[in-house]
Amino acid sequence: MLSEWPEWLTNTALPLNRWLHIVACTLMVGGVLFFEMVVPLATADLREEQQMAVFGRARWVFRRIFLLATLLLVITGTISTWRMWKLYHLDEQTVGGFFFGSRPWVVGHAALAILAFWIGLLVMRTKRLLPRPVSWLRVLLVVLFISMFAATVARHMRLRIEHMRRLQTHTESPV
Amino acid sequence: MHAFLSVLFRWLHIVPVAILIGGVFTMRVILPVGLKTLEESQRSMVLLRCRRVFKMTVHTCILLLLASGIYNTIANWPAYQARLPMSHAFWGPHVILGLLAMGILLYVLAGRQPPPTHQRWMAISLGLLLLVVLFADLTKWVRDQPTSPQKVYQTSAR
Repeated sequence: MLSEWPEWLTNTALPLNRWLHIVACTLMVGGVLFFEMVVPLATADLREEQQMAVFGRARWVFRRIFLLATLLLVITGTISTWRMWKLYHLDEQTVGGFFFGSRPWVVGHAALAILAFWIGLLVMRTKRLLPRPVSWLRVLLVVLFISMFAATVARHMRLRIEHMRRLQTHTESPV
Repeated sequence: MHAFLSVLFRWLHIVPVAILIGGVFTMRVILPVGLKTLEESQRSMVLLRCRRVFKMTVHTCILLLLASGIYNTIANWPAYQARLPMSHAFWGPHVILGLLAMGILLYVLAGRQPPPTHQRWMAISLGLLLLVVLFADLTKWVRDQPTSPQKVYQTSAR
C-alpha cells in the first residue's frame, strides 16, 4: 500500500511519525525520571503536607502530558508496525523462523511499553493515590528503559538481516 | 562484539536524550506549576535544589551523548559517505545544534544561582533539542536508504 503513496508523502510522513514517537518517549522518560529522582530530593526539607502538595500538583499536570505521550506512542507505534509488517515476514523468510528475526524484540518492546503505560496510568490516577508512588515510578522507569533497549535490538537485527538479504540478492544475480 | 557495541551505544544515545528533553520540559513547564502552592522563599529553595540535582543528571547525559555520538558517527561514517550530500546536510545540523543546546544547558545550570533569563534559555534549549532529534531522525532516514537509485517503497514496505 505504501508503494502507492506519492514519494514526497512517504518521505515526509514516515520520518515525522518516527520523530513524534521519539518526542513522546522523551517526554515520558524524562518526566518520570524527574519525578522519581529530582523532586523527592528537592522537596526533602519541606513538611510532609507541602511535599504532597508539590508532588500532587505537578503530578496533575504531568498526568496530561503522560496521557498525551501514551496516545502519541500508541498511534505512531501502530503506524510504524503496520508499515514494517511485510518486512518482518521477509526477514523471517531470510533467517528461517520467527525467533531468529526482529519480531520477538518488537513484540517485547510493545509488551513492555503496554506494561509501562499501565503502571503509569496507575501512578497518575487522581482519584486514589497509589501507595509508594516513587517506588512505582522507579519500576516504570526501568520498564521503559528495557522497552527502549528491545526497540534498539529490533532495529539492529532488522538492518543486519536486510544487509544479509541484499548480499544474497547480489550473489544470486550479479549485475 | 561490534553488534553488541552498536546496540549498546545506540541505546546509550537514546536514553540520555530522552532524560535530557523530558527533564528540561518538566523543569521548564511542569515544575513551576507544582511549586505554585509554596511561599516565595520555599519555592526558590526547592527550585535551586531541583536545579542542583538536575545539573548532575545533565552533566552525565552530556558525557554519555558525546561518547555514544562519537562512536555512532565513526561506525556510520562509511554509510554517510555513500549518501552525500544529504547525509551531511542532516548530520551536520544535528551535531552543531546538539552542541549548542548542550552549551546553553551548561550555561543555564552553571553557578549557584541561575542567570536572570534562565527560563527563556531553557525554552530555547528545549526547542533546539527537539530540532536535534528531528535532524537525527532525518540522518537515519537518509542512512537507511539504499545507495542504488532503486526506489525503496517499490521493493519493500520500509
